[in-house]
Amino acid sequence: MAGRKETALDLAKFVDKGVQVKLTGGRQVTGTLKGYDQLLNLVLDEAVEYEREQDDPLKLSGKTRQLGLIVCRGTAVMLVSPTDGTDEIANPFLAEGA
Amino acid sequence: MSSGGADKPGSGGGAVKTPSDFLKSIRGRPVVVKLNSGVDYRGILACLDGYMNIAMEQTEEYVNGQLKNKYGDAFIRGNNVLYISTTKRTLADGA
Repeated sequence: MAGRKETALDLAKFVDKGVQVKLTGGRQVTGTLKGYDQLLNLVLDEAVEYEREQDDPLKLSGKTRQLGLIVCRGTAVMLVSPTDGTDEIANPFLAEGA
Repeated sequence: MSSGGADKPGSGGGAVKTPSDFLKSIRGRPVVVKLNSGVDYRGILACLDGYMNIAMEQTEEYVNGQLKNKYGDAFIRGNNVLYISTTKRTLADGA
């Protein structure tokens, strides 16, 4: 299965920065991104897992689990987002009044 | 700049619009991305690749229609994507 080698987002700019990762099944982890590969396997340091409510898997319980240095398997990664405030740039497309 | 849709010069009367053309045309536009889990992400589509990995800006996360989270930037791994939707007709106009 040949795919393009370009990726939609260069994770290199997130290395050594805080990222928030959502995983399939609902788990959510934040930590410092230390490494990654094309499959989106991620290495996170000082990782914290935000646990969910027992009955409502979409709601965070507020409890956390310290995981330390972890590997997130790429196939389970749904979403990656920086935890720091993002660089706000003026978006020219907003002028379309969408 | 009028009609932000993909203005192609007349290249052959029988030009076929492929899904790839659609995906190229929605770059930079507000989109709704639905994942297999049913969660919706609304934001500006920044970048898209052949795996349907998505980079979005000003992203809002909706669960069952309720706004749950906001992300300035968000990267979504393509295998999770159920569909990508835009509010504007970009390819079908005049088709």
